Amino acid sequence: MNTEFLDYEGPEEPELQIPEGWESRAPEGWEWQTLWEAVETGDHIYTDERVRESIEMGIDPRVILDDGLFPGFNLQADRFSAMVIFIPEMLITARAMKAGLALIRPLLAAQAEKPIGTFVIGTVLGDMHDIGQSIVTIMLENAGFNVINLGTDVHPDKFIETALNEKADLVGFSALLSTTVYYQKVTIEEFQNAGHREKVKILIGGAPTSPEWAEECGADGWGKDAVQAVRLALKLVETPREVWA
Amino acid sequence: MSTTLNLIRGQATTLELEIPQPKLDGILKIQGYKNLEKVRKVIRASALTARDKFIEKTKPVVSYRIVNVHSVDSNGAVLGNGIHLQSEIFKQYLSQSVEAVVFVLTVGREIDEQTIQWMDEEKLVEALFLESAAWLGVEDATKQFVLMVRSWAMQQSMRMTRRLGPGYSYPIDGKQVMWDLTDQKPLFDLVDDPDMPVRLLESAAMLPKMSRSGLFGLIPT
Repeated sequence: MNTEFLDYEGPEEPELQIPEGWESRAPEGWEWQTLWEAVETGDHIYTDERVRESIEMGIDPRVILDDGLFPGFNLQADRFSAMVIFIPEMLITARAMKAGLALIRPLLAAQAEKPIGTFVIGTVLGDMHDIGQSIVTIMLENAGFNVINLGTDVHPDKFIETALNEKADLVGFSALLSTTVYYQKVTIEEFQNAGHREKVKILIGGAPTSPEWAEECGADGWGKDAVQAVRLALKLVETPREVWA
Repeated sequence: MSTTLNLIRGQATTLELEIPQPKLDGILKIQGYKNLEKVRKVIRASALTARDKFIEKTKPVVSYRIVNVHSVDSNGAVLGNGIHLQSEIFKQYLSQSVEAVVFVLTVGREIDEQTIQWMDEEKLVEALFLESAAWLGVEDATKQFVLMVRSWAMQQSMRMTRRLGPGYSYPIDGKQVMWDLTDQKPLFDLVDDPDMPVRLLESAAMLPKMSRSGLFGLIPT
């Protein structure tokens, strides 16, 4: 098995990537600059206001997302990967992004636009650490995943049952203790024993983990941090796998 | 609250410690901020909220016991009532010790509860900084305990070894050697205090999460 992980290969000082041809998708005289900055700086109040205005102007929700929200979010994600900013800034950007998404998501659903995929996440059996996986959860939601967060101390059977019921595309489990990383391997083995291993892509992460450990476990991917985990999830969700019955 | 240690050989004691006052800059540094001048106001404000909440909620306590060191070899050490701790590190760090102070320390369960509450309220930045403040709080509480043990040890004509804890590695002959986290169980058995406000899970994780366990060897001077 080839376990994947991504290293950031972008510039040391990332810049805002302005969506090509955005003017042609917006009403005349419209600007996105203030929304890009609001998401970048984590101004969730302005983000909420501007997204409401965009909806009232009749802009397509997919356009609001791609042209209005993602540029500021992606800039911060790149800065985080380049270690220009740290987790707190990434989180306040994620909160602003979430405020905008809360308004857009029902509209996308009404257009029959589905989430990118379903991601079941949790901390392995015996491990009570929760902040890390909560950070990954908000980042995955912002990227367009339907996320089911099972919390901490999750038994392998619970991961399997939820993946089965939700027809999950991806499953991710973190471990923060040297004594609990073992359960990442056990959980993957249980997916195998239950006959569901080829139906999901499995990502692991957590402080004591490494690409080598992920390979040994039989995971499909290893997330160095929340941003890289999301990028990896976006890649893995596109890869072929068996379908749920 | 106490600043002097009442160490009666063989008897377990649980003691309240002084409330740690973690520094804002320290909390920010844990999250990677080296140039503190450039930290944005909103980030600084969240860190300050978390620090103040930590000070309001923390109840630092240590449970400890002084036990005999019966034997030390390359496989481990036998302490107290014949409890075996397994690691190569003891040959290097505990072989001169005749006694050891075993301890379990926590900054309190209310920190865990507040972290969960903030996560439920989607105040992840504050929750993150609270963990950082609590980490510094554990450091501070440990330091308070070390000073008390050191003072007591000097009165007994003894000196302390460095702190050793399960789940950490220590240098031996240029290599890092681990004391496995699974030894939390025998370490807790050594402290064995019914008043101890820390629970050990099967996985060796401690609850409250912001807790620390370990031992100091005591060497006659």
